[in-house]
Order: sequence, then C-alpha cells, then structure tokens
Amino acid sequence: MNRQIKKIFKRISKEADPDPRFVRALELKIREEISPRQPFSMWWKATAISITSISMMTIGAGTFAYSADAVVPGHALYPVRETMENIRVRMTHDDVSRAMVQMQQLKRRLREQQVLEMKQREFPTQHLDRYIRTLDSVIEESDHFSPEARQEIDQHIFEIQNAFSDDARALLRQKQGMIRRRLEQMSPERRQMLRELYEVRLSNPEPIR
Amino acid sequence: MDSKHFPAFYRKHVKKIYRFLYFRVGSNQERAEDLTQDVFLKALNAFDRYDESISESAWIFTIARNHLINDVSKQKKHSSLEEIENIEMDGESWIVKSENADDVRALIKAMDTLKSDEKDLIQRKYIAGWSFKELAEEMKTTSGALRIKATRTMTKLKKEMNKKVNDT
Repeated sequence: MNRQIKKIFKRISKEADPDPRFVRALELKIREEISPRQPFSMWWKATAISITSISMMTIGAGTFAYSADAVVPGHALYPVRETMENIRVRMTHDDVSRAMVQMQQLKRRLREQQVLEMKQREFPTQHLDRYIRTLDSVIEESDHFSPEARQEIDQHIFEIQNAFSDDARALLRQKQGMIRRRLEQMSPERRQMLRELYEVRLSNPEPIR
Repeated sequence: MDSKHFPAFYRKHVKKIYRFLYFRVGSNQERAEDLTQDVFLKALNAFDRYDESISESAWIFTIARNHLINDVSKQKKHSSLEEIENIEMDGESWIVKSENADDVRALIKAMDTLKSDEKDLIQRKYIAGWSFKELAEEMKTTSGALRIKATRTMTKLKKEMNKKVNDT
C-alpha cells in the first residue's frame, strides 16, 4: 500500500513539473542578469554606427522602400520602390510569371491607396493611371495563357477590381473635398465666374463618345 | 557566494520550488511561474550574502515561503498570518488532470485528516521532491527523525485510505 501511495505521489509530482520552456527561459533571464551585455567601446560604437548606416542606406533602404507601408506615393523612397518593382518585372522569365508579379504589384497599389486614405491624403492621378495601365496590360496578356493560369489571373483581377471600385469611390470623395476646399479659397469674383462657366457647360453638355 | 554559481543553483532547485508554489496557488501554472521567477530573481540579488553554512534548500525555501506569504497577503488583505502560512495545496484542479482521478481524490481526502506538519512533510518529501537531508536542515531536526515521522504518516495515510475504501 505504501508503495502504491508513493506511486500516486510520484504521478502527481510529475504532473506538477514546470514547463521545460519556462525553465529554460528563466535560466536565460538569470544568465542575462548575471552578465549583462558589455557596452561597446567608443571606437567600436562609431564603427558599428557607420556600418549600420551604410547598410541601411543600401540594403535597408531598398528593403524598406520595397515592403514598408509607410512608403506611399510622395514618400522620398517611393522612386526606389518603383525601380525595384521594374527590376522584378524584368527579371521574370515568361509572360505568366510576369503577370503574377504584376498582380502582386497591383495589390500593393491597393494597399498604398488604403494607407493614403487613412492618412487623409489625396490619391495622385499619375499613380492611378499607372495602376490602370498595368491592369489593362495583364488582362490583355492573359488572353493567351493556359486555362489554369488564366483562371488564377482572373481570380486576382476579380479581387483587385472589387477593391478598386471601393478605392475609386474613395478617390471621388477625396476629389469632391479637394474641389470644395479650392472653391472656398477662391475670391468671390472668381467663384462667380466659375459658377457661370459651369452653368454654361451644364446647359450645353458634350455628346457622350 | 559568487553569482557565476547561481545558474547551477537554479537548475538544482527550480523544480522543487516550482512544485511547492504550484500546489499553494491552486495549481495555477501562470501564477506559479510568476512566483518562481520572482523567487529566483530575489535569490540572485541576495546570492552574494548567502551564508554557505546554511543549506541551499533551506535558504531558497525560506525566500519562496516569505515571497508566497507576501504575495497572498497582498491578494487577500484580510487574511491572518496563520491562515497564510497554512495555505493548503488545492487538489481539485490537478485531480481532474490525473489519469486515475479516483485514487488521487481518495489520497487527497486521506491527507485532509493529517496534522499540518505531517501534511507539509509528505507534500515536500513525496510531491515537491526534497530529500530528508534537505528537509532536516530546513526544519532544524535530524533526517532520521524525519524518516520515522514520514513512515508513520504514510501508515496513517494507508489506514485512512483503507477506511475510505471500506466505507464505500
């Protein structure tokens, strides 16, 4: 019976063992408390800063420009992103992989638009033009892809177009806001002149082509 | 004592201290981990003042026990010191975890009939994993005396468990 009781105790004791990950993590913390990282010497500090800065300016800036949400049209690093995207497109070996890369880039355009909207900044027309041009070229090229590849591209296009219509609405809202702000800034005479011009335009609409 | 010896000290005692705390905080793993961390960080800060004539187990156990008393008194502001010192291990949560919950439950019930010093000895010896030597140093007695006490307590437990089996 004593042996049986000891067995039960042993089992309970096993179940109350600490998690090995906790034991290791606490040991690491203790070791760090015992010997904290030595501070760098001034010389080493200066060298490290220089190396880090140069690396950041070359590799880091490229990576940052390529992937960071903060880089949107108008950002100083945005041209770097455009260049890297062009390189990626040129590095593709066939039409299908090029279209896939372009799809990824279009999704990034959408993301940029969302970021711009969050920041309540205007959506640049030039940016929108590039977006539409890429979409058109992918649609055109995908006509002679294999059915499987075309199906995949169509799925991407469908997702992008759905999101794009939302963005277009957001763009319209932004443009209306922009026009209203400009009107408010105008002198009363100029505003009156514009209103008259607008009324003439309304009474003689251009034929729809 | 030099803090470079502390990692070895930690590895030697971490399981015992964790188990001791675990059963006294209602088998709450998260709380037991927090308390274990606090205890060892406190011990690390005091390690240079550690008197080697005292047993390591007794020293770390005193820190753990005092820290637990402070922690419980912070949480239950109106508890008496006696109440805090006699914090029982809350069996229910680990009974559920056990594969054979019935015999564990019977054992816990039988343990309820023990005196608090007997219960403490059994818990620390057979669950937390202290040696008689370590316990003797901490309790300021001889390991022989503790061995006899433990054997008698186990016999008592056996009788209680048999009684419960016969009752049912």
